[in-house]
Amino acid sequence: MKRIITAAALLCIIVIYSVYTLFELKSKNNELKSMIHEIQSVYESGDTERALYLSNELNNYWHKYEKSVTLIIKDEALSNLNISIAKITPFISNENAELVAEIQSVYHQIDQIYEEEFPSWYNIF
Amino acid sequence: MTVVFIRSVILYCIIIFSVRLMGKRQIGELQPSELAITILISNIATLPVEDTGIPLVKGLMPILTLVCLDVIMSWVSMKSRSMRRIMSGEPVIIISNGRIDQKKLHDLRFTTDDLLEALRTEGIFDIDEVQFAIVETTGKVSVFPKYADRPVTNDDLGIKNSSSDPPFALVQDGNIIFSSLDRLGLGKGWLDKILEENKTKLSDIYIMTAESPAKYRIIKKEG
Repeated sequence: MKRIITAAALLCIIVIYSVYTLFELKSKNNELKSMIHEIQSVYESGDTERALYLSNELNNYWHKYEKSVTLIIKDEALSNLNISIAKITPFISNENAELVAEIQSVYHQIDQIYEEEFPSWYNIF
Repeated sequence: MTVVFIRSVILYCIIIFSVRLMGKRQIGELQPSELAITILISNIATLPVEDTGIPLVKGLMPILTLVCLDVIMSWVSMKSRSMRRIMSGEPVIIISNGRIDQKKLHDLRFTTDDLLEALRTEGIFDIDEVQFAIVETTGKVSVFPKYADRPVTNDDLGIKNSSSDPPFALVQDGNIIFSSLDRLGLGKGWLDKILEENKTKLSDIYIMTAESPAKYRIIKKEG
């Protein structure tokens, strides 16, 4: 009976952990997206200095994000996102025209990370 | 390299834990579902070790999920006969009254070579000696020989004796096995008395077995 209880408890922990990580990922992704959105709108309003400040904030948040989601997300997906986020600050300081495209790429990658984890019909099968 | 090493150590611990959780079964006695899970686990376990890009948690989660499901399903099977039938199948009688059921053999995709080999494994070389044979859910063939070919037993010879448990190891390499002492209803005091009678020290004993307080054997360490 001890085995059954251990197995059932473990199974519960696994299910709870899986659901928790999904919600955690969604909330962290939303936070990341809102930061990027703010950078984009500040940059488009012409305030490069504030955009640079926000991009530094984004980098700090990104390091925390990466550490927490590395337990559940494949390294490859995070590496690609890391490269894209690292490009934002230099693009702002150089006022590079590719900034908007890079930001769109970051949005897409963030969404993709969540979609790959979401237990949809398509992902399961 | 260190990452692979540490991951391997963690996986080793998790797999040992998982196998212990699954319970004691020998490979040859695994039920079909258990065999499938054992193979799956061994395959899944290699993924996070080989590819450090895969989070370790992602490698551990399917292992633990499979093991937990197996333990729970085996418990459900224990409680429900119909579930047992679904999970493990049913034993199939292939020889009854000395007659081979060819249809059943065909259904099981058992060739005559398989049948003869299984009988030989049971020590039967002549199919005429078999009264009854059954293919267990594990795939093992159990054989019941005809009356004339069964080994002679003590009962057949009229030898009367009381049955008793086999001897238990009470001391191994100078260490007392208290669980064996308890099983025989003996205590440390009895052991000390025996050691005194035999003029020996506990640390000098290689192995000591007993099946009753009066019937024990001491083998001393050599050299």
